[in-house]
Amino acid sequence: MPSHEQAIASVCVCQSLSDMLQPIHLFRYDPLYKHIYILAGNNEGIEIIIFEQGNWEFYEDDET
Amino acid sequence: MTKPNFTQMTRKELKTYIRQNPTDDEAIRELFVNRRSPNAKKYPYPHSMSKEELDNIFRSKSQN
Repeated sequence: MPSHEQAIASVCVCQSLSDMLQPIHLFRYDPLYKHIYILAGNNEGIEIIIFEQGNWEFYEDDET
Repeated sequence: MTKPNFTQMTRKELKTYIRQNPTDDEAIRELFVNRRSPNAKKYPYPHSMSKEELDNIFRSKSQN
């Protein structure tokens, strides 16, 4: 299961994506790595990993 | 059904595959873990950020 911090961070990230009218294509918790993966954006160009501690990483894909 | 070779796929192909197979952790890990960018921007647990700060991050991403 995701950690408490991870769960809260997910809500904040998804709400911000939604505020910006960005579609969310994938929302996935990985039980092995304990990451949450989000694939979002009009061109699927927004990749986000949310770590167990609630910190997160934003990867902007130029290739999309 | 044999699985495609994920390591041979472009990012775009991987994303198309993941959208069609959102439970395939192997494909998802190839995109989010194996091809993770060393330059990806990291952010702290959003609880320590204001909503405005968070929105500004996403606003800049959404203009692409």
